[in-house]
Amino acid sequence: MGSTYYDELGISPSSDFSEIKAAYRKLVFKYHPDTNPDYKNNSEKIKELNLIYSILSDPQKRQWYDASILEDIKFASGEYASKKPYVNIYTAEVKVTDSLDRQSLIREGDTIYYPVDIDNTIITWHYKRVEYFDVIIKHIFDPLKRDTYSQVFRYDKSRTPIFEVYWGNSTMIIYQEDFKSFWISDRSFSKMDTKRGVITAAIVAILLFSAGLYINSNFRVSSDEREQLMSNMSAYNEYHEAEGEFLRSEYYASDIEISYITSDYYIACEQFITTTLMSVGVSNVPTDLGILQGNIESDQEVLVLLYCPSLGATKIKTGDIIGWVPTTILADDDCESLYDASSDY
Amino acid sequence: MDTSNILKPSAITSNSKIKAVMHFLAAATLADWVIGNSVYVYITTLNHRGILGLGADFNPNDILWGNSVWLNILHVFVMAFTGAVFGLIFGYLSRSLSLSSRISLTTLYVFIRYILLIGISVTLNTFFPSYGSTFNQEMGVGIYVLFSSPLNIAFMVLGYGGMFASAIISMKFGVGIINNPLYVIDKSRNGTLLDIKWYHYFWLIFPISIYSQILLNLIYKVGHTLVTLVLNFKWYTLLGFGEGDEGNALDIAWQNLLFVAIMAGIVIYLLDVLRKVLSGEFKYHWSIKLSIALSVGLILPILIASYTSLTG
Repeated sequence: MGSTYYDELGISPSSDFSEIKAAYRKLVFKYHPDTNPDYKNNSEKIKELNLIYSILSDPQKRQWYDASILEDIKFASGEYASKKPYVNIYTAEVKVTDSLDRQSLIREGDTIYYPVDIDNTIITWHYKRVEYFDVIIKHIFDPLKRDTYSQVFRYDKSRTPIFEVYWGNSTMIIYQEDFKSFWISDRSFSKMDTKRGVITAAIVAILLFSAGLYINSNFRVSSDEREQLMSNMSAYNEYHEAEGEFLRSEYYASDIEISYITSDYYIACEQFITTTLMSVGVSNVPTDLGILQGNIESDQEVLVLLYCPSLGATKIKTGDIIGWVPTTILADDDCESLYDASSDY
Repeated sequence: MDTSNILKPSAITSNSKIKAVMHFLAAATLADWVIGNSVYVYITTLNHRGILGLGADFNPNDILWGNSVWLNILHVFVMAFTGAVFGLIFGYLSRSLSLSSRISLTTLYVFIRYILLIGISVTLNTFFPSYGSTFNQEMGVGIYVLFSSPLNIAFMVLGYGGMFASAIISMKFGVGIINNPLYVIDKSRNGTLLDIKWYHYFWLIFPISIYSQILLNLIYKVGHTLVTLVLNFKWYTLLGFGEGDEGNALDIAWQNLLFVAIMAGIVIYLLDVLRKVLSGEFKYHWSIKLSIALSVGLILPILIASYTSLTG
């Protein structure tokens, strides 16, 4: 049996509300980041204390909690040890009403939520926000087998158990009365979450629209500049179209190769004929990552078209075979650029 | 006192803001710098090998990849993939996420460049008006050129829309990865991904990038081998007619694929070893663990990147 909430606050289970409050305040003061920044994970600790206080300060929740630990103590002492389950008291699904008065079908493995008010602080601003603790349902008690429960498990007989949920490294029983008062089903939570999500989406859309308006109004280009830009772009395109036509017809260049030639990655050579020093495969790109176009033999005449300095490859043509070979297999590898920019290489 | 049994819920739907910010930064860093960067480096490698035709000045971070429709479609897929990785990791780290958080943080992730751009513009206009007008002017020209073609606009919308949608969808999967209600009570797992503590990921960027490129290269080689097979296979030899003598393309392609496949197997094994060493699953002496981590995490990737063509 683990520590109880009372152990955690350092008080006895019979303590009254004022003692609980005093112990809670003392511990919050002890762990609060403003008063004691040395404690590691103190925000987690404060959350734990908030959760404990939210339960012990509420008479109904405290009564429910006390009943559960009392049963735990009995269970740990072996009072129920001799009672073996002999009947399956669980069911796969059940229809229940949650604290938002919404009825939903709940299945094993579903998640249910428990809202807790958490104290938050931003610098000196203190506020409360709701956080939803969630637990996963391990078993659902079959309402039709209510009479057999007492023979197989521990529970508060004055109430109706409905779920057994994973609760830390053990399990906990949730009663129908508590579920109706405090808990929220997955369906209710999804509806609430969707509603908030839609509101967030609307806010995000408004912000994006405002950003678009800001860009449109501040990043403006004058009409003169627009004309200049359009004219530059069309001149650039015309020049490259003409150049592309020339490279296609004279250098058997593909569109891909043209883009590398215009960005000076490949050099269009003054075409010349040379011979190969060994047999080699011809690829459609300057590396072996491309598709083989054919093989050429040693001492074969080839026409040199393009050169890629960084990869050490040359594009050649011999007969019907056009493609790239390593420059080192050519007898003459002296590529003079067709353009003036060749001096850069 | 051990309080792990006291605060018993398995998760909370609204983690603290600081935690959310840390999860967001971790997921964005891992998605962009580790996984996304590996893809971009490999794309750049393919471009420099003369395969993509994006020119020497290509930058994979550009919004548009040249004028080619296919490459821009590839870019849309890469953006969606990066978004999916972000969503998956963010969901995994957060364990539980409200729809509001999903929408607001994904928007921040997808449009962060534009948000920063507007932030810089506003700052400059407020404090340095003359620089501000120059900045706005230059941005205006870039944006005008970008929006001058309907195709550009279409690909931008597809890219960012795809990134947003894939991030939102994959968050759902990320949240569901740890389907163990007892997971969060194991406090030793706080701040871990694949059981490795968060601070290791700062240096793991390097080996993950190299090993990811080897795996991407394997994917490319599979495609390349299949195409080479189809183009060069001598189908008539199946019917018993003469044998072709130009099968070296096929041989080279198979050899390449086999070599990279074996290397990929070794890489996956080594990454698993590295994970086990860093997560503490291997209970060796610290000096042995340090040696394994350094060899697999730093020395081997440096050797692979410097002396082999395994990364493409």
